[in-house]
Amino acid sequence: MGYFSVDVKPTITASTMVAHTTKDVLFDWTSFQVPKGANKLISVSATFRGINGGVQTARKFDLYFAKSIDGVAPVTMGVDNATITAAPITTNHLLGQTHFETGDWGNNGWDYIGTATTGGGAGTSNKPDLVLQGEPESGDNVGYDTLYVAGAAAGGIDFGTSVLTTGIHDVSGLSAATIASLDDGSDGDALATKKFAVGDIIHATGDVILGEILTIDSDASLTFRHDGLNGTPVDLTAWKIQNGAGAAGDLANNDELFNINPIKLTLSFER
Amino acid sequence: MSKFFTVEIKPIIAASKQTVNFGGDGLHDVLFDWTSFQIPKGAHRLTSVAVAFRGSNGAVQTAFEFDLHFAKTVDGVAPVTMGTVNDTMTGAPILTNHIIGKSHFEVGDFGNNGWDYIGSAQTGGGAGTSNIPSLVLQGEPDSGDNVGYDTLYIGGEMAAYDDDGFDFVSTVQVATETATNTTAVVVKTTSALTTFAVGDILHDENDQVIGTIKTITDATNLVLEENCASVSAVNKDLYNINPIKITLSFER
Repeated sequence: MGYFSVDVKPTITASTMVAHTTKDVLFDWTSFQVPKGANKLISVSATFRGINGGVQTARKFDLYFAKSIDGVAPVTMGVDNATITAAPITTNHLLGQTHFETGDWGNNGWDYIGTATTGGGAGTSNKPDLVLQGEPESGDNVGYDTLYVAGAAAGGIDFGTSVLTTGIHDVSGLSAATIASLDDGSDGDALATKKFAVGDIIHATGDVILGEILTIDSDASLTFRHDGLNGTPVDLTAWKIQNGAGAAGDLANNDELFNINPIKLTLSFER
Repeated sequence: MSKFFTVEIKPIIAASKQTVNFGGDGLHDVLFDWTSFQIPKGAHRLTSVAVAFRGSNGAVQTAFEFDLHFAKTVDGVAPVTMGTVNDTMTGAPILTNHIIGKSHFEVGDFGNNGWDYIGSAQTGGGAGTSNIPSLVLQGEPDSGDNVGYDTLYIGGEMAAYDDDGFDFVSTVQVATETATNTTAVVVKTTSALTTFAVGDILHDENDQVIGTIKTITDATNLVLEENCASVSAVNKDLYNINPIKITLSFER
């Protein structure tokens, strides 16, 4: 017997980041690897980026777990931040779920982030005791199986940043991979240091790719990697045209910038 | 080999941050900043947390809600600060990459808390929001101080209370200006016997190091292991900089 943990950082489309209403897709199926065989999920911790530079308010949410069927991954949960339109075949893939109550956020006294951990076990607060087992040969490597996790918001979770461009940015004309003069949309301070972290993958409204933050130069300026590491563009030219077909990902005035991985899950397993 | 082990942690809370109670500003405060600890290499399940508190100026430490957060290094880099101790939790967004779980304590987790001079809490009943830990904590490979160990971090959060909260304020005061040529410390106002213990590391309210207690002779006389490290003036309040002890219970 032993234990292990798995970190998962789901991707949420930038254009769907702002306030979720009731029973929305929080994030779609995200695959992760576990050691081959059956393992028991005994706890889940989740960290959240904040709302517009403030704490992420404690909200109810659910995580769903699924597996492939005959090598086929589960179909989509639906569009991020819209109702959960998952097709009936999803029932064949589902392995279980974990529910979070607002109380599972504890005191949640952070200024700029939010955190939750399962669970008291009382009432509807869930203490996981879920055996998850993927299909044989589903893993990315020998010795591993693939499983999937997806999230559903009960409402209110919001990853708005209020970090917005000022003026039009003709990306093809930039001399550096830097987007500066950011504000909060009303000529106020963008406070990027309270909203982003080095390593964040940033997309703008409309899902324009800006890339991985190399440095947070100030509360109003971000510089992006273009050194070819971690799959980033190999140079400035490649950074400018990363949105495809040789086109620059130009930014309009008041385009909001988002970290597309605002949630990190830490899954605790016993085997 | 037993499949269980425990780890004891005594976070440092600077004396100057203990001079007013925690949470009294109506905001969630940093109780103590990230404190590293070592666990045997690999993944282990946290099954329980016990916390012992020094009292409030020679009286029981009142039960309040608090949280303990756990974190790890990322690419060998420790988590950034949670913020200034006894002030709001200004931890930067990058902390979401480091945090791997939390344990929440309810007032009820203090049980009857009938101590005269200290306080104690234990996870958890499992009822309501009372938390029974079942977290698998796993550090980065090669993060440990020695081969065979990994490094993890724990930080404390005080719940928001108006005009109330954990109170380590001390009025064990210097009665005779301390001198660097003697191990003797004479105190007044509040008894050293009900406030301090042998082995406590004392600082004064201005964070001047006084020394480690070797003997508590009586209510007004202490003997340090070495000569006083600093000259502290009469009426300066003295503090134990480790007023909280945490015992983490793990299953391998």
